[in-house]
Amino acid sequence: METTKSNTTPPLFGLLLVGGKSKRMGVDKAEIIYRENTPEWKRLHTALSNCCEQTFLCHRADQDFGEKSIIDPADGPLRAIQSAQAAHPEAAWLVLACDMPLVDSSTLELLISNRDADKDGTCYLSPIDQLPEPLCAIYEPSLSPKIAAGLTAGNYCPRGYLTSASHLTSNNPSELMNANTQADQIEVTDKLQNTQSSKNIELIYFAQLKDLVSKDSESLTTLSSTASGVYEEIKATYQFPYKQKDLMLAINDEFSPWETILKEGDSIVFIPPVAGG
Amino acid sequence: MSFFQISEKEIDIVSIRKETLTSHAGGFCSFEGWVRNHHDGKAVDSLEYSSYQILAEKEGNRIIAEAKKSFAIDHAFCTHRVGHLAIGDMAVYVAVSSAHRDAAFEACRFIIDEIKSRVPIWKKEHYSDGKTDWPSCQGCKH
Repeated sequence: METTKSNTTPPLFGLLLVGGKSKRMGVDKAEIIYRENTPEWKRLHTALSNCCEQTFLCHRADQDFGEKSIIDPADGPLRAIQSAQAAHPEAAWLVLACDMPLVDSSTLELLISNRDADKDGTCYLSPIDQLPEPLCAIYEPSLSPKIAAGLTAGNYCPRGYLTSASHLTSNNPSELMNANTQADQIEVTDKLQNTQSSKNIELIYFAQLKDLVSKDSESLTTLSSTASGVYEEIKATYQFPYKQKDLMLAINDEFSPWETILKEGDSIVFIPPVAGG
Repeated sequence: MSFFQISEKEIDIVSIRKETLTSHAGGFCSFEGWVRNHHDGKAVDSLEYSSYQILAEKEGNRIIAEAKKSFAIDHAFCTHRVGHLAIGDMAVYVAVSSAHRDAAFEACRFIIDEIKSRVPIWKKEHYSDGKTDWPSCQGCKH
């Protein structure tokens, strides 16, 4: 018997993850307002609702947003996704994190128009490392038993389940950026409001980072507002193994917070983990 | 006066000890950090120390100032060596004098612990098998 795709394609439900603790940001990332005078959870909930048959917030038991929800076991995003799959096993889930302020309807529409329901899922590849972006992705029902088995085996990283998904590339390299810190928040705000300005800075390298770039220093012209943005610009180029939270930052020979606004002529040092003594 | 210094030359412990002498002090405590021939079960041939000297000296001097506030000591100095050091070479020297011994012991311990976790100094380990690596301080503060 021949079946057509239209009657076998599972319905697409939206799942917005808002149960994170926002430790590094210091304030709840779901409540930050970047665009449309609307908290991010509400803006993204609306965007999902416009393209999914049903949309759920996935939040902790102690949260209440007044919207249809799935309780997040507060044990990482994969457990949250599994809870949604268990609640509606018939559905495919468009899973979205609430800390991606540059994502909008067009991001979701492009993802959905590239959906391949015969595969385990559909997702963007990170422009930085070409790995699947798991928190702006479609999870088909076929992934449900694989995720359950993986969780039992202790594999909590959602990215690995999407290696054989259908992949696409974003038109805008920063579109899927996570805003985890106050510095990220500044970068996003300046991008959205077009208040970025070009400045020349000096990067000085020490230790492991100096080995990786094979030079003591270099000049850089950047649109980034903070050293955090600069680090993300160069990290992939040089294959730096460190996340920002592993590093200290110095601006003009003094320890500085990552959210410091850069000025023309600043000299910047990304300080790898120290090892005196 | 600089109480914390980065040095490319062998550490002159005699001169540093002399700086801590005062008729008010009744005790002296020092710590020497040496290059050892093993790390995490691997045989080490040598260590290559480097620093971000301007900031290292600022932060090191802040640590000494903190020690003087926290402990009843008379003098405290620390010198950290950089460059390619051989097994047995001294990498760091801390010297503290105080009226009573407890403060000197405690301040000496505080200074070396803070130096290791806060001051931008790095070591590249050269192993006997020809490989190299950059170990980092366990429990860095920043």
